[in-house]
Amino acid sequence: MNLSPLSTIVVRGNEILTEEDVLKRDDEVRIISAISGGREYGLHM
Amino acid sequence: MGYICKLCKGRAVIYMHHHRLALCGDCYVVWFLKQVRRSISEMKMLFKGERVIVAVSGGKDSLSLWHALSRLGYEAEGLYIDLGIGFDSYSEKSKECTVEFAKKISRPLHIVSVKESIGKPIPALVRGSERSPCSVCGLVKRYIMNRFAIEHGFDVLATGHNLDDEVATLLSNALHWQIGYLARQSPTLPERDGFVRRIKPLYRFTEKETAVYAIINGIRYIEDECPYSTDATTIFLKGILNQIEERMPGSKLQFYTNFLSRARILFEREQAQKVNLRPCSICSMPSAEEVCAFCRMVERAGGKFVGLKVTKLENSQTDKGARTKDEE
Repeated sequence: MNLSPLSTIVVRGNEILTEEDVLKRDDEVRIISAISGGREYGLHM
Repeated sequence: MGYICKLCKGRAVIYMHHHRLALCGDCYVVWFLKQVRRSISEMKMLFKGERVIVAVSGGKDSLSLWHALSRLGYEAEGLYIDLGIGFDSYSEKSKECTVEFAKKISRPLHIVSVKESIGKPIPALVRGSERSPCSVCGLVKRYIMNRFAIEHGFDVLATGHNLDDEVATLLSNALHWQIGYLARQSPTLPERDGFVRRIKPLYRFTEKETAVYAIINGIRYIEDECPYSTDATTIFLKGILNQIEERMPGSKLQFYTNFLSRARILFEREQAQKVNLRPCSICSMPSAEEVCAFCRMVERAGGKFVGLKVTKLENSQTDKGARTKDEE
């Protein structure tokens, strides 16, 4: 899926997984993007 | 076999390559709070007895910041700016997350409506302006946050900017050699005439780290991206910086902290004599021109600033500070 561990979080149930965790067959996971944008440059609060 | 927590040997939920540190959920929260306390102290952000307002958007960073400050004993109040972005019910959803969180930690929340204060919501201001949507929104938010803090007697304004925000901004400003902006990019901007002190206590955390803090603590935040920001340059720059970080762990933090310790002062000196602020002839807030950028933008878009329209939700405090999910 070409996901970067720096910008995504993978959650299985209530567990946050790291890149070393192994998924089992039929595991359901949620992939959350941790990147947000749209903040203005320059004056930047 | 996943990572093992360095402190308690339990199952780790995060491995931070740049710190070479794996932590479980409980140890991560303790570590996170220690880092926030350290940033506040080292960067002289907050002092005893000061009133602090946290600008909250309903996103992971600002809600995590408010949560962390509450956990550390700061009786911070929240300020939510209703931008009036109807697309995908963005403003509605973000407000809902913020109101729910304020109730959960029993802290007062102030809500300012852009539409009621200026006569037009952000989308209408964007249509009437030559600026980019992020620039219009940033200008409006900065103006409202500062004006609100001053009018309501707050000493400090805290925002949830994280390391990725700061590094992306630094890179953009350096690419264009924006000396004035580089001179003022700092986790603490001291108060001066017409401006409250502005602080960014999360400046050492990556976006992923603040998101993990939010998830562990059961903070429900808006995951949707602002509909105006989908093509934002920020996201592109953050992606590039993460590619560098993957190849050279620690680059982002080092780039920013070295800028703060070695380079920023040079830009600050260069800029020191150049900016003379005076009261805006329309709204009296500090301005480099006769009419401030906010008033010019509002006028061009056909709006009229009639004063901040604020709703306050008290959320009477029955307990002190926020609690983690496990404590509830």
